[in-house]
Amino acid sequence: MQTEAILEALTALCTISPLAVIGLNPQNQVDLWSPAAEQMFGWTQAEILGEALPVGVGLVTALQAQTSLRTVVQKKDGRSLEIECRIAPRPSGGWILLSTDLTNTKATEREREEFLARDREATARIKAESRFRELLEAAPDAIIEVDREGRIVLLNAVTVKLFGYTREELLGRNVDALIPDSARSRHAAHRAGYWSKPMTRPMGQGLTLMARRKDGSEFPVEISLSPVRSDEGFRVTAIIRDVTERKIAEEKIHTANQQLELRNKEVERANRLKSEFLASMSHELRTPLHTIIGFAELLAEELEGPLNDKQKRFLQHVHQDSLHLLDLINDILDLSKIEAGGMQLNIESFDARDVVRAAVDSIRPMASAKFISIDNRVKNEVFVLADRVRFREILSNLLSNAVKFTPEGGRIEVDPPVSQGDKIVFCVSDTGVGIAPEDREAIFDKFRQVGSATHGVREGTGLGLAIVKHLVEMHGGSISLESTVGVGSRFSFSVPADVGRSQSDPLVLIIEDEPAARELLTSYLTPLGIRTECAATAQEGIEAARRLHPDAVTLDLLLPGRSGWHVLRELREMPDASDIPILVISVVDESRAAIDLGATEYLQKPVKKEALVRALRRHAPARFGMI
Amino acid sequence: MYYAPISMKTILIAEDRDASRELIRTVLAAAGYAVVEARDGREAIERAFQTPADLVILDLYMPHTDGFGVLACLRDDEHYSKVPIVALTASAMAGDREKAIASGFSEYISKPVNLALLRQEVGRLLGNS
Repeated sequence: MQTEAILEALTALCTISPLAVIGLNPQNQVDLWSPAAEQMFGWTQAEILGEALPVGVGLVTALQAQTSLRTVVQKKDGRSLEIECRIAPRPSGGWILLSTDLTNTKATEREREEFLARDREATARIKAESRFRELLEAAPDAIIEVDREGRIVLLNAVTVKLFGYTREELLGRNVDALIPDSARSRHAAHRAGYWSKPMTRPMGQGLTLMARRKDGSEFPVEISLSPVRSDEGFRVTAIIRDVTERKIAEEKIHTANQQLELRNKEVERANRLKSEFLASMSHELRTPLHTIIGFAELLAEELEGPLNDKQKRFLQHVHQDSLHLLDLINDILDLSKIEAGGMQLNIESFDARDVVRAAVDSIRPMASAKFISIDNRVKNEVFVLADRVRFREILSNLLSNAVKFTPEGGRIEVDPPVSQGDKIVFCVSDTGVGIAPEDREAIFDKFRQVGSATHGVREGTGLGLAIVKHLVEMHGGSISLESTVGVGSRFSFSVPADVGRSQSDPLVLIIEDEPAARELLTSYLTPLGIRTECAATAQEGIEAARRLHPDAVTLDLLLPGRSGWHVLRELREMPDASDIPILVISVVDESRAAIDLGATEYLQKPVKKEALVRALRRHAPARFGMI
Repeated sequence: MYYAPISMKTILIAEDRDASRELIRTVLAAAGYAVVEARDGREAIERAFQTPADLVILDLYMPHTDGFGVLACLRDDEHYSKVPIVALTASAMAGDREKAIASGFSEYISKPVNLALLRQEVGRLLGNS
């Protein structure tokens, strides 16, 4: 293109450009001022050519440092104008300046932003609204919104389902439609009352509220009210819950409770009647027995004349059986007292040894008549916390039971008592008929004498063991039975020990398979007041240690079955036996190994009495120190 | 085999059952006491004031006035305030004995009576055991 043509084009460009084109000569005088510049800044070409740039001289200097600049300048009329400028140097010196009026751009941008904000707001509102709708519809309760006049303005699907109206029927209708006739007249007043103090709260607290369906039927509801402020003014949101199911459940529970209470009262009454009946029954039975026994005794005394032998024998039968009848009545009365809770225990601390001796002595005549020997092995004092009379009753019952069920020539033993925690266990064993496993629970029931066992035994009332069990349990103890049919039975019962006073004699468990060696050790210890228990095998030894909690153990290493080593290890692993002194007594010289495995002392067989006692004293001075 | 003390002690027995009354009477008469009998509470009070007794045995449950009623009536009297009065009953519920002693009975004997015990108690209460 030719220079001429270029110049023409540029001139035209300057004329039509919406950008202000300004030329500055090297003296910074304006030599080009396009129509757009006239319009933008207010000065005409005529006014400005040859003058300095009126919009600020600093502008050119500032522009030399950067390619474009946004700035605010003053127009001819004094108003501010935001512009963006660019600058280019002229080869002949001076500058060409391009300036854009930013006013319009700014306005557009603002508009756009405002539009976007409105759009966001609208979206958010729609979102919130739809979330609200979702919540509203997902709620398990009916939700309605009511305006100040009581008109329903909003409701959810549950409302439709619950009340049987369509959505259209309810919208705009007065909420009174949902209220039963009986409560409707008062509702307007309640509503007014709510507006005087609008806050979230349950409606009609403590009352059973009823709602009304379209078909007129009513159902129980719970209603929660909240005030809401909407564009249209204050409103109330009511959440209405159908509590029919709950009311039914509550009613059921209530009825069940009432029935239970009634039944309890009946049971109580029946119990009272029963004990009253038993008391009066006992009185009525004892009254004629009184004269039967009395006259039998009177006749036997022969005050009214002598009797022949046959008459005496007959009279004895009358007397014996009437006494038995009396026992029976007493037992029944005892049991009814226990069951009616009428028996009070008089708990005291006493030496059970005396009571055992007395009970054994009183049963001896009965035992002797059957050539049964009774061995009372309760030799040392043993303090218990029990009712002395009832404790004796327990023992007497067990002893007379043993005598009854042991054949002639048998043996009964009362074992030395054993401590078991805070209890003392007493045992009565016999060589009687024994009790089959299936009957072992039943014998503690009332009026139960176990079938085969009672064969030929008629004296029992069948109440003795039931009473014993009750009495033991009233003391907080328990009773158990071990038995082998044809061999014998062993009843064990526990009562609370008087731990403070009861320092039972120390116990040594002897684990030894040779009877002679066992006997020797026992003979060393028994005269010193030390109790001994023996075990002949490893297994027996472990079990006995677990059961008896001995104060010391003597252990033979050569045992049948598992070895003494095994016992040693087992005992040391037992949590409550780990610190019991274990004296290993053996012919094998394995002292090092034994000590390593946890033996307290190693004694070479045959052991001397002094060595044994010395070892006991050394390792358990608290229990053997006084010996 | 019977012997009568120089001054015979008198015992009043109140008991509604004939058999029981006869039993007690026989035992006590044989032991050498003069026995006065009453069949119910009202009669017991009448007899007590007709013949001052040295000891009274009262069945607790009798028609008209029971043993407790008779006791209360007798204890108000100068003479009977010092006389041993024994309760005799077939009731054997816990607390019966305590109740009787608390009411003012001197002793409590339960039926069926052991004859030896009856003689012993009566003798003790009359101060000639």
